[in-house]
Amino acid sequence: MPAVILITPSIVYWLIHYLKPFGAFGLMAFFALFYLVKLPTIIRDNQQKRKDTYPTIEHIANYVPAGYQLVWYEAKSSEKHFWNNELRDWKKSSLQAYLAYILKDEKFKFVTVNSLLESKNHKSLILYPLENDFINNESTNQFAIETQQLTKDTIAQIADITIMKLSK
Amino acid sequence: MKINFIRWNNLIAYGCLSIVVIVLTFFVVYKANWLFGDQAEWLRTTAISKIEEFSHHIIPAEGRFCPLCHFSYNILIYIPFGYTATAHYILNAVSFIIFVIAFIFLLNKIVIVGHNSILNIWIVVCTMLFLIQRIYPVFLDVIFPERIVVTLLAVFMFFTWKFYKTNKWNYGIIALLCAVYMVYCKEPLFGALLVFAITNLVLNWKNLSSNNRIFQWILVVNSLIFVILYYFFVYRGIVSPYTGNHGENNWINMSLRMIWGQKIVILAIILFFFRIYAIFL
Repeated sequence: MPAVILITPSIVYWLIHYLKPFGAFGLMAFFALFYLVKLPTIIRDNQQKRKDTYPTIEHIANYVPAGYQLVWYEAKSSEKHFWNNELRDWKKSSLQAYLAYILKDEKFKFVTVNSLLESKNHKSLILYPLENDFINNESTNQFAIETQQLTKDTIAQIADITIMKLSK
Repeated sequence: MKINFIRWNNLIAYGCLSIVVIVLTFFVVYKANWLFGDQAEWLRTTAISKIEEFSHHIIPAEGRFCPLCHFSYNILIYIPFGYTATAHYILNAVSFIIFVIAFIFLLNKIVIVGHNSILNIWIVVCTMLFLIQRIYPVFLDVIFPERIVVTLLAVFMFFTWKFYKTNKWNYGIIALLCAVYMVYCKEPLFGALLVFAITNLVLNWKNLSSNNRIFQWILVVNSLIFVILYYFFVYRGIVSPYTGNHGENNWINMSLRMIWGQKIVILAIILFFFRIYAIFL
């Protein structure tokens, strides 16, 4: 992007030089309109995100005062999946920070598990990042089997994180 | 009569541009709220009135060295209600307006000079509309270091031009301060400024004043200092470098995708070869 800022004045200068003002105007008008039509969509999407994000995360945060522990489910894998691992860690730390902010508790942390059975003794909200499916093909099946072994209340989809509410 | 026509022409052109800028600035701030993702950084710092430390952005394992990329947001912790999302977006809006003003001045002075046409002002407007919509998304979020980079770049380019024209160091110093700051906001900037300075020194040596040569050398030294610091603080500790390629391993595909994403670069390449042809043949 900075490259575009750097080169645009010289592009316009040489366009005027070679194509005269009318040609330069035509070309720059084309470029302006070509992209400008996308701007309303960009603004609309951004406004939608601003509207939706806080209530969505606040909804998760509300489980904490209700006595739930928030559990982050991480599928294990022997192979390396660098990008998906990075993405999953990023999601975890971002969501953790947002929840800490809403809960006004800087020390807030998820309980991280590799198996649902590890949290079976607690009232829990399980957060299942979809990257698990790429990191371990068997993750979904394993998660389903483990789920059957526990009492299940509801399953909800929020953004690309599957949220499973479990209570004992 | 003609003067009146030009005046009206300019008024309408700038009026259109101003309306677009006002509307866009409004949507930068409208319904400001924290988003999910990288904005977590603020939720741990300025959103709870804590300093956003520059050490957060020196990450040797990932090859990151952009200590000042978000440093400017720290001004908010000294302002009442600076911890709110709205305050963060207002700072974005201010940066956006500074960018627009600096670039309009730049285009008016550099591009239009010597070409007498009523279309000139509309070329500036179209160029601004093109640039605005390319950079606007970085002002809609508070996480992009490009927010401060594009703003400083516009100011740098304007004051560099003023320095070229007047040879006065007060303009040169403002440009150099912007250059020093922005190099530490995003890694590739050191290369952009190095190319800019070396091109001037090699191809334009005869036309540069002695002050201007010093100016270009300072830009070179600034970039070299960045490289040295990068080597000692980051390069030796890289484990898995952040590439920004989102899982794409083929750098040729990545480069082509980037050029296609910024279509005006294709026009720049065509103009470059046309200019080479015009000079040598």
